[in-house]
Amino acid sequence: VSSLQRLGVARPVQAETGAGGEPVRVDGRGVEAVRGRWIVEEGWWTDRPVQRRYLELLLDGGRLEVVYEDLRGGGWYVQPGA
Amino acid sequence: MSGYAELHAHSCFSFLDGASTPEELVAAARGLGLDALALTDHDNLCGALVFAQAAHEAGLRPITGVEVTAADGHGEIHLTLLAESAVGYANLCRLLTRSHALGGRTTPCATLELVAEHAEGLMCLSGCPRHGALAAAPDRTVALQRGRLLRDAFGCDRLRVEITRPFWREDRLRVRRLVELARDLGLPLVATNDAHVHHRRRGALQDALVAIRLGLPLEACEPKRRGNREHVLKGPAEMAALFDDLPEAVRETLAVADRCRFDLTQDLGYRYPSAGDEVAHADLTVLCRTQLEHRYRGQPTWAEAERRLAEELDLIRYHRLSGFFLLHHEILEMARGIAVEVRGAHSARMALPPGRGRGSSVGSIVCYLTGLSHVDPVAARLSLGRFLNRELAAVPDIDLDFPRDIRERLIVAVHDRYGYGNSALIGAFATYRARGAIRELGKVLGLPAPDIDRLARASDGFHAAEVGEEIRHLEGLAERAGDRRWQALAYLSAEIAGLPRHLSQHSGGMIVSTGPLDELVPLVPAAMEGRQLCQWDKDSCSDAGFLKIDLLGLGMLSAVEECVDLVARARGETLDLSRIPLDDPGVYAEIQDADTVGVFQIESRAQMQMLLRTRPSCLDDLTVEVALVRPGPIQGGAVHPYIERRTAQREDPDYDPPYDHPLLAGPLEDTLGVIVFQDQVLDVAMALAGFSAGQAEGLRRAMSRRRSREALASHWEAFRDGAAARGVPARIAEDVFEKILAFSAFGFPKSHAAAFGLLAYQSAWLHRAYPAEFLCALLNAQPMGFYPPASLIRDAERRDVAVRGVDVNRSDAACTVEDGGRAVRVGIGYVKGVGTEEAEALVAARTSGGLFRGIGDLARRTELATDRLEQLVRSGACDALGPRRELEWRLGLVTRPQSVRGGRQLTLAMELGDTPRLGRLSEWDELVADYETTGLSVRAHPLRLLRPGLAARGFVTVADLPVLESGTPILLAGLTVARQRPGSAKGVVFLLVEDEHGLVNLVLYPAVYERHRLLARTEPLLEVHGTLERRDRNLNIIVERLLPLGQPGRPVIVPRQPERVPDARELPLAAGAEGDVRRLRAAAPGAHHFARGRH
Repeated sequence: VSSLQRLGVARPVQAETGAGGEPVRVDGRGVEAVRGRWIVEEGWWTDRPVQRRYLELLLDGGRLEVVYEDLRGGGWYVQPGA
Repeated sequence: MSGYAELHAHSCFSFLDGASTPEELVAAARGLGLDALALTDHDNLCGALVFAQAAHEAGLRPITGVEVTAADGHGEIHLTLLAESAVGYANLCRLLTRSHALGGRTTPCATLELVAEHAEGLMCLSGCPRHGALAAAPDRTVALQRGRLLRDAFGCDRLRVEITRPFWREDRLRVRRLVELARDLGLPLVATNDAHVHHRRRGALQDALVAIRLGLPLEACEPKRRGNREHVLKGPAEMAALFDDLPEAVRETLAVADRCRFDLTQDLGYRYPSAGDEVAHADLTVLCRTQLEHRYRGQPTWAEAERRLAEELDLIRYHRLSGFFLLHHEILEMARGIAVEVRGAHSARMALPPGRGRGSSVGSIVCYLTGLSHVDPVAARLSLGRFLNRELAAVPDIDLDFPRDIRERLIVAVHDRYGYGNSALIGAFATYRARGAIRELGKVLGLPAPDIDRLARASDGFHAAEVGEEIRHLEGLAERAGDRRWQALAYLSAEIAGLPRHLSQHSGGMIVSTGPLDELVPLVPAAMEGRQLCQWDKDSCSDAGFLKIDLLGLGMLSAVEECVDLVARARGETLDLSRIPLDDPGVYAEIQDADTVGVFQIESRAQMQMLLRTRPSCLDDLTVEVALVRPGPIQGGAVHPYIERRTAQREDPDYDPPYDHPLLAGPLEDTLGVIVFQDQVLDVAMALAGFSAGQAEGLRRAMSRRRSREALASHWEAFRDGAAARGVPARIAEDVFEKILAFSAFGFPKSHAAAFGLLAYQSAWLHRAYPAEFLCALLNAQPMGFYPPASLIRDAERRDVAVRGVDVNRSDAACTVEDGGRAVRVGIGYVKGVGTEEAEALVAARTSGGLFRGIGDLARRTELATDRLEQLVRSGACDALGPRRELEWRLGLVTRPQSVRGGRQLTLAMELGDTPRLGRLSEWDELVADYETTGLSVRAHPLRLLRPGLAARGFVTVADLPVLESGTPILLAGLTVARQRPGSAKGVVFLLVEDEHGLVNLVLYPAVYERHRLLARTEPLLEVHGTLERRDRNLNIIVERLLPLGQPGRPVIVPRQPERVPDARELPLAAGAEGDVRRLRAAAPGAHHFARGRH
């Protein structure tokens, strides 16, 4: 675990998405279930607006992971400690 | 595919928590294919009727509801309540009335018990995710407790567990808990989306509104906002997908919607007082017949009057409005009683009626005979027009004007007479305009306060939609216009424009009902004690068919009343304004010369220019004059033809004006072939296209409310066909209809213009005959009219009235007349920072203990705080007690009586030591101090003091202008008095500026205005470069360039008195000429600023 991750800084992940646009594999691990979905659209008045789709995933092997899709810049990220 | 009904939606009437209008929600719901839509604003039904009507028009089923706030000791609870039946609606209104009485005017809050008491006829959903009774319960025990209480009140069939998925992280847990609670309580689930916007693009505004409501920057209120844009109105497919695990909750929305059959547009069940009461009709008939004998017997108009009365009484009976007229008569009688108390039994004002009618009612003989109007409609040839006709679609309007003091008392008296349950003031919605939008949005966006202030001051004052344009034009901001926050400000200002901010009070409308009013509309306490208002504005009240009484306060009526009183006191003359000659040539000479500063209605810049050209010479002309300078006639293209024809008629008395069609000769005869009055729109439609009175009224209503283009198009078809049937060529029919549309409803009815024209004449007459008393009355009735007090004073001085400054030994609290009508003394109330009560206490101390002998004496004998005394000294009110500098110095040494327990401890008179030798203030410094402390000066005009420096640089004065040729280049200095940017003037801006000799109008064409926007809008002292333009008798300066007077490098010499003793203490005040002008700039009274719509 890098020090950045300990500080809660998001890390890009490889996500393979299925029909609904939700990940079926994250960094090679299969997604067993989606436990929660939420959306954050904030800071639209600033130079760094945030628009993210979060998912709480149950991965193969029983591990929970919060990932989000950056709806502005694109790409999937893992949000450690979330 | 299954359907969906949205049962929980907020509009902008949730006030700062909902960013779309009911109309926008309806249109979006229609587009999404919703089966029904409930409007559930927070604690009010302000938008309910607008919503119901819009939904009907769009073919969508509306459900009337509310999200009510309550409390139970565990925190704030929100419940979604929907009206199933008329009983439920009445309960909703009563519940909201009670919750406002309980929680407060702006913080309504019911209890769960109170909600339970009002459960009958209502469907209850358990509420939103953040505050819902179940969703937000602190624990399961409280949730079950609340659930059982509500289930006892509403029963299982009228209570639902509301579930939402706003895409928050806690959704999963919350929904799971709610599903369990529903199972345990044996209640069905129902899905809602708690919509706050009709479209995702409004999401940003919703965020900003919440920040405004919380008074926090956007950055600081993230947890309280919704965090995303999922609170948008969603359609059936999206909701079905969102709740694919709970399809029964989506299906249940349709079952609930199906139960809520109450229709606000049909089921309100309001009745006028005494509607259809034969006794009331007999009473009204007797009242009118008696007055008819009294006023018309033996007159040449007798037969006509009798015929009109019979016709009107017939119509009144047909529409069952006798009680309505009697009620107004009764209110006027109450006003008469109040007038005796307010004016005093022996006051000169006793000869005046307690109020007078305005609006279309002035055309009614019944109104004239019952005292509701003071214009004889037979003699003035006023038509009944739209006021009463066979096809009347709504209750007619009777507007009554009262002097302010009488009106205040009358409103309370009406509450007392008809009961608090049966009467209320009509509400109004304060809506966002540019200035407020910039200030409030700028704050939550965290933009620099000085920039926001500058932008707000430079804004047009009215159009929030154009803020982006403003930013791009403002110096220092233009380069930042691309910054994200400034862009956000521009975008949000355009979105917020016109949205309501809060419920306030209509200027004077009241509604009265025979049954309990709080079953028809929620009533809330008004800001002023002893009054309550309803949650509907005048349009909703009118659409509901409520009986409205308009009790309007009119500043000029107050002023005229006081003037009559002042004349009696100063000169011992008793005036009866109803008997003054209405053809005084001296009065008309002044009117024709536009010598009308302070005169009712015809004092504005635009009116003055018109007067010079149309030269009114009788009351009928004034009636036209008052109506002509209005957006309707201006946009309808009536003004220039009228002026031309008026000129032609003056030159050739046999002149016949042209008419668009011979059929229009009748309706437009009095106005030389153009449409000036609103009722002429009806007359024209009837004459040219054969419209019935009801049809014509329908056309007028369609125009006045800016209904859809389709509604107007259907009127056009009827108009075209009707005109064709009368042999009117299609081209002419089209042309006339275009003029009618352009006129729209923005004009006065003739009857209203006649009432205002008469008041204009009466005020012009007083202005000429009693200029001192007139000025004094105007100063005491401020704020009113077009000109600031300083300009009114200079006008009176031109009429040889001596105006004297505030003096603690001579002034009353209000302004007074001195020397038998030759002088006016400014009142102590004009000193900023000194309250009316303090001023009155000072006068009382003087009356009981004699004149103040010095500043120490004044300080000891009044209760005034030191800062008030200092302000009095600075204003010159104590000049008779010594030089200002010296007084200020002494004030610091004066021993004051101290408040001690059990009374006041007296102080021994103490001799003050010698005052050091302090220099006197210069004339200029005194003038600036006058402006700073009272907003006016009775000393020299600032331009007179600046003149020596200006004359040397070739400036001309207003007095020089009449002898100069048109086209002469002009360099002029002036103080801005008024600014206007009329919508009908195609971007041309007018500035009225004043120097020591008088007023002159500046014209800024769009290109020039674009270059000088900020100066034109904010600068009080201007250096004007331009060209003189002479048109008929009008003088204008066409501006080429504007500069602030006294800019660095263009010094203005402020004169110094040669005898002045140089003194170190004086230096900060006299820091050089530029500094001096800057001080005046800051102190000069704000010029009236009229944007579109005002003329």
